[in-house]
Amino acid sequence: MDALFLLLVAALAGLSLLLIAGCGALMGERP
Amino acid sequence: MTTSGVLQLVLYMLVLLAAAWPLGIFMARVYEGKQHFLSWLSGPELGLYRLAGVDPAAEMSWRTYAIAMLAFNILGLLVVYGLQRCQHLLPLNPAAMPAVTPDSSFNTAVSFATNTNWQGYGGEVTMSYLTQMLGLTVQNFVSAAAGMACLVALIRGFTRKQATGIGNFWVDLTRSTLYILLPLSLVLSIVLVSQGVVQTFGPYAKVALVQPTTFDEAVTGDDGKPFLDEKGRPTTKKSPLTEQTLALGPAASQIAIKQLGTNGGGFFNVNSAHPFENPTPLSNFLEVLAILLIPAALCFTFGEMVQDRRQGFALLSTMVVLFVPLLAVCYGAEQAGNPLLAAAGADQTASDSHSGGNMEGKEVRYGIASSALWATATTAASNGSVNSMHDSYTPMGGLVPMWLMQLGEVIFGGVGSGLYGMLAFAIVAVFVAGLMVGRTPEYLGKKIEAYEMKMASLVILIPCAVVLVGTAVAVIAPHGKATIFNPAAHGFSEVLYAFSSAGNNNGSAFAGLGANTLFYNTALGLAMFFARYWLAIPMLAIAGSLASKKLVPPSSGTLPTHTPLFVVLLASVVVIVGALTFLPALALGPIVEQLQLYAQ
Repeated sequence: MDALFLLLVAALAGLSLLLIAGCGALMGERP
Repeated sequence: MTTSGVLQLVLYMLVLLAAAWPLGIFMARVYEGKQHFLSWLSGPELGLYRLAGVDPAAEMSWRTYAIAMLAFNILGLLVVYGLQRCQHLLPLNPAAMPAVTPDSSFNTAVSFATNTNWQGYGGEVTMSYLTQMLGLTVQNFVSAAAGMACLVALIRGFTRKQATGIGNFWVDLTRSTLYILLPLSLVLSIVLVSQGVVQTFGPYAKVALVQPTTFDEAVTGDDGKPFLDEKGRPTTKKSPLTEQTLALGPAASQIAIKQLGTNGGGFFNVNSAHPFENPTPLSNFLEVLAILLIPAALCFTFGEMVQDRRQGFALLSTMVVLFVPLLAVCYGAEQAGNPLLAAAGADQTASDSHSGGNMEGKEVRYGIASSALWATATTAASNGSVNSMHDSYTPMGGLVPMWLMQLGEVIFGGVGSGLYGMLAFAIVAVFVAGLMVGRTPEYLGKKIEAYEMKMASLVILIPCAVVLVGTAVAVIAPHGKATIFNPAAHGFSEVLYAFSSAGNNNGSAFAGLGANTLFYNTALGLAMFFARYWLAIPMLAIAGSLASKKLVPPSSGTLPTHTPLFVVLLASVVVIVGALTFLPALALGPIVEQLQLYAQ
């Protein structure tokens, strides 16, 4: 059970990093 | 409403605004690195940077800032999780609390790291002193400081010209904690102790009952299972009850920061309704003042930092304009009482001998006005502490705290997060105004373009989606329905409130709902995580984008953002977005409950 929740935290952190990358990529689109 | 009640509320607003102004100016000096009366603490500050290997002069891009914020919070989350899981092996556990379950540990860790402080557990029967202090209280400080840091980064985005950096997260975090949160908490803790709030490492106390009584004790066999009578019911015997266990602990130090940092997590299960957390009317006034103090003061900080005090005053005015009517609705509904009881002949009129109105779930020490004020303040801010049970409010009285959370907690809001949420609405407001007059929208001399609008939309829409999707799943999924103990509309209200609270990082609860289950611990934990970081990240992206832009001088087409017209526009945007998004869900819960009161 502990491993599952730690995995969930890791997944959430990973998704948040993806959001940072996504927001950065969108910013790059600006002319 | 009674005269004394109205006077209490007026006094509260006056003291709040008077105290917020100097604090706001002080905080601006702290963040700008100017001299202030606590500058003598700069030695420890620099020592901390040396210890951590941080260069305080190094500027961070918005991405680096966001990654630092995220990494720091994830690390804190893991520490709180580990402390709970291992508390039975660690010191400062005089009540021999066992390890907290994994799902509850996850929920609490996310809850405190995200400044939500939703509590699916009862503090005095779950957490060791070490967990409360090293885990929860520390997160109370640093989660609040992280929110303030993100706000300061956004303000720098407005003030800087063609810059790549928005500050240094470690510096902002340290300054928020060292110069603002710690000193204020120290002072408030000592005042609270003077009022009778407990602060001790001693074990729980056993005291003799003033009036000994008896209770029905189950008769059990050697296997611990109860004996059953011929009808299959457990047999009981009358047992004397002569003493009571009083839960104690280092509460005052946690309560001060729980209010100042808009955290809200109580040391004891009934939170600020507990006499050891909130013993007197004075402690009640100071605690509810502390809830909105920093969020209100940050508006003045904003005005100072953007070098136009009128801008901060306009934002604060918007908050007050929205807060006061909602407070009046909540107080009015509670003082009016329950029409069904009135029809049954109950006297709910205020008089010299009793408060009248709806006193169910409220402390007689505080009465209706102070309870309604607390309920409104705690949900306007992302605090979530309670001094009365919101589940027992009239439907209309309960709708106010629920809707305040659903508005995104931008009316004062959490420390830092409230104002950056309001700034997201301000960006939308100037965009709407720009569409009306056909000009490129500007705010504080920065052009608001498609990118800022996309990010602001994320900030506004993510919590709405989290709340509505979470509620929908909970009322459909068997595991969600299994612990809805109240039938029909009120059960729905409880679920909607829970997700509104988690999805806006508030932390208060309607109770009634059995939330300490695998389903709710996980679902609400996810809601809290997304509501915190998935808003902070787009806000930091806006900060980065704005910082890189040139300052545009005001022209005849520029919408002034310090005028009453802008206050009305901004308040309207907040209300319209909140109403359009949540009215259908509210109609299924508190609105239909209110109508039912008059239908029977």
